[in-house]
Amino acid sequence: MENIRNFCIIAHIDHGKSTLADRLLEFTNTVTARDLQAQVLDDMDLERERGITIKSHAIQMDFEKQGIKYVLNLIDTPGHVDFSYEVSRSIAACEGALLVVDAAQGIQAQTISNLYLALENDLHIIPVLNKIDLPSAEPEVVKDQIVDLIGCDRDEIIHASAKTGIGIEDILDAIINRVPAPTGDPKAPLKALIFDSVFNSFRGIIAYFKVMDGEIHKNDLVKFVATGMQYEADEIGILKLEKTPKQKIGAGDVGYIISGIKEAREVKVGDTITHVKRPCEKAVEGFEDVKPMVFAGIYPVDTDEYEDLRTSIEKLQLNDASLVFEPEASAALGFGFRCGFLGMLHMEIIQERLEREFDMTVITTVPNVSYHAYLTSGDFMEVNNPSDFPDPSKLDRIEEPYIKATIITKSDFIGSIMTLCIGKRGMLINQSYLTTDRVELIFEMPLAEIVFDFYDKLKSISKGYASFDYHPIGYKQSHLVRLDIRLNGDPVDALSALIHRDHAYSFGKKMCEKLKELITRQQFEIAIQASIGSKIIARETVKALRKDVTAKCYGGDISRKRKLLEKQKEGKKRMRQVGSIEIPQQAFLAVLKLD
Amino acid sequence: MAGVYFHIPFCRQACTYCDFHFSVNLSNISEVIEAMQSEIHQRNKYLPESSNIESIYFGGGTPSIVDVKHIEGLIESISKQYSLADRCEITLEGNPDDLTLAKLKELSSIGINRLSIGMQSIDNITLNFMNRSHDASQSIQSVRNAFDAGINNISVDLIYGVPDRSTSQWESELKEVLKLPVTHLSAYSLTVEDKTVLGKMVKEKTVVMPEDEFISKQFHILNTLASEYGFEHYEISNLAKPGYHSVHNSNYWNAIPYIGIGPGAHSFDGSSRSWNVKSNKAYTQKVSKGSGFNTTEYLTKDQIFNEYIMTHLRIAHGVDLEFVKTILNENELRKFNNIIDEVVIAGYASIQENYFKLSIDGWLICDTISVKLFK
Repeated sequence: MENIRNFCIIAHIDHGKSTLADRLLEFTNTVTARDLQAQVLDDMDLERERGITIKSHAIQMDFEKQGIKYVLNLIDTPGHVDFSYEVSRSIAACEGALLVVDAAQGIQAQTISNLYLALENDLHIIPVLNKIDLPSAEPEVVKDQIVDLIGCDRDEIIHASAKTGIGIEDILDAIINRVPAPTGDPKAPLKALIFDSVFNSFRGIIAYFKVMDGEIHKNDLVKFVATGMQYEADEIGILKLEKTPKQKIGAGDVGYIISGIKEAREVKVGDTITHVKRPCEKAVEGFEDVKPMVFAGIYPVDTDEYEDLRTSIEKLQLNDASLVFEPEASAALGFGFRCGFLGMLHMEIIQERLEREFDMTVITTVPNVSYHAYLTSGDFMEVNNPSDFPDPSKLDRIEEPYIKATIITKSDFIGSIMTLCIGKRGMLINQSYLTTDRVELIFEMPLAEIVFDFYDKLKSISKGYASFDYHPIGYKQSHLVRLDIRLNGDPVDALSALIHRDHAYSFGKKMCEKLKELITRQQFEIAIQASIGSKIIARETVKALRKDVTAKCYGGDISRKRKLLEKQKEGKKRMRQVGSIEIPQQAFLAVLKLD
Repeated sequence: MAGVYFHIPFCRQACTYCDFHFSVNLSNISEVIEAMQSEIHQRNKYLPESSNIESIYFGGGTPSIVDVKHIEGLIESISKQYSLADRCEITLEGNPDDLTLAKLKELSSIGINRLSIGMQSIDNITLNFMNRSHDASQSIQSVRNAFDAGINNISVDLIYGVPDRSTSQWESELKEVLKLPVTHLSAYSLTVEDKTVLGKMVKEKTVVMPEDEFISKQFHILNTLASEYGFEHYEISNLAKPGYHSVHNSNYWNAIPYIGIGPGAHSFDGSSRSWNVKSNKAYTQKVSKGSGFNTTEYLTKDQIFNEYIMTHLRIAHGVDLEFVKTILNENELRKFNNIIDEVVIAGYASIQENYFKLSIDGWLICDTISVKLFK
């Protein structure tokens, strides 16, 4: 156990985490450059495209130094706020962390919140200044930031360039010398922390764990504490580039277990594995049932595909337990599902996976958060769908979830960020300078405002420099109204949104304008109206189509024109007929792209 | 039955709206024509040897700017390769400023029996806006010259839906033209293409294209006025006196094979479409090497069906519902019939003797209806 080192990498997106991981794997001969995919740890297509590690993984490296053989377990962490709970469990499995900071960009909000998590878990931090070979690198300035933040000595900071391989050996040496070996009692009853799980279509759910105490053997009868489920450990092993089966995994080490589990929801990140016969007294602390934060309806574009959609979402849920869903019916869209997501990125990922992996064409309705409604009758209800919003006359009060938002930015942008956050009903709680030109702003604001196009706006007003992180802080009373959209007089429930009273008028107006842009001319005129109750607050008109193209169509035009029209036909497949009106798929999310 | 298309890729100047392939460098005309001669030879297997050529069409570009001997040479080569039908339609596109009486007599003597005149307008302001190389009086004179030269099958191109040109002006121009000895009209609404001067002007908002309603009105005027002068509106943008429908263009819509010779020319052999490289330089180089100037696309059954729908909605004759029945399966046919019923009820079409025919308003939204009916 004294030769095991468990560590993770804390870094902002694009600061070079994946590249650094690749170099460590190469240097320790865990993989060769040849079989290295662009980024080994990100093996989902979607992840590689987005450059974000969505689901964390782990990999074991062997490294020999001065005749001593070390086992290094690198535990990868997802890099987006939607997945912060999973990050916290990965961190809890480690004794050390590489804090990787881009020498040109400096410390970002996401990095700081993960760093705090690491410090809370008593991880030893090894600061690494990456991309020092960039012409725009400002190593001294960024070193100041790091020293300020973690109180280390300047010379503890390792200079590296994951791209060119500078500093890789120094990092490995630091991991061995500075990160403490895991502690734990090999003789105590088994206590292992599940920090991640993946779905394999042949083997079922594979859970990744770290043994805190005791040891696990192949064929042991084990119990998952939170779910209470019992399994036989059909296969256990360690994670090299491929899974490597073992007879035993001892205290302090990291491994995987396969026990014929079919559904992801049986394996909860943060849960504890113990023996049925000799269970541990206390489970690993910090377990939480992850709750969805954002809800939206998902409907098939073609109503015939409802059952296919159900099957696809069920399959997705097998490997993504954080996705929850229940059937719902919409007057406009027919039958579909109300789904709960960890956040907006998670929602986009699910939509994309449905389209790519299951070839489903779906409509996602306006997302909303979960509201608490208190009725005059004394009843309480959770509102996850604008259609369920109670009649205002029966409503005593409504509460909405709030978050604490941390924004780190260059001081130049404070003014415009303040304007943005206050416009989003934010309240400034704290403002502190990290360095002379970097400021940390802390706001309390409604989660619902983050859902509506906050992140993109923040990025654009700060020219990409501001970074952002948030944590839920509970519910607060609010003044909300339901804004409905009517097309030719008929309300389209899938376009309804719950909005703060003070924003309803401008929101309704923008929504009508946006829909006018997105709904193509049809053979009749279309009136787009926004209303609160029976009161119309905004209106736009899409004029009737009188003419498309009446150009020539001769020899050379035929194939070009056919292709153009076939493309339009493809586009039409992504439209949903509501009454007699065809609405393009993206109109349902128009609300997210309002200026 | 088969047709031959020659693409003559040269123009004196670029029209504002045109995205066809052409070059204003006239120094290498001979070279390109030579390459076209070679292409005829190299692709002698494209059409079956037994093909009876019903039409030859010289399009462009501006075929009237090249020497008549070049045109003559190309016709000769084709007639050596294939047999020409007795009444083979041989059309040449020309610009009014090229069409002198002398030139037209020459053209007539080598067998050109149909003329397509790029008139576009008989209003100088409009011609100027389009950057045409001729003026209104040349437009009118060219038709008279052609008639005097003994070419009595005369088509003129006209453009409507032009910014800042009133509907009454379109009407009066159209009347003037219909009084001339013309047998055929090709009338197009001005279309904004991306990589053109007009495209740029629209993007930069220095030109605002007219509203749909305006264009729709001019299209209706075209239909009504031309029929008063005895013209049949036989395809969205083609109108002719009885007996003067364009054989060549009709064959395009009826999926008759044709070979296209010259840079950027398209060919169709009944099951695949192919097209030549668009650059004059690349074309001559690759033809001299004997390969690589031509790309082919094999059509799927669905694509063949879609092309049928697209072209037959455009012609007055309409879509043959018996034929559609032989292509679609039960489920597809049910959907197809539902759509045509909707279109008929909305007043955009009628069904006559098992042909589905669009009305004038239906033609105006022909693309939308095509898309609905595509497989």
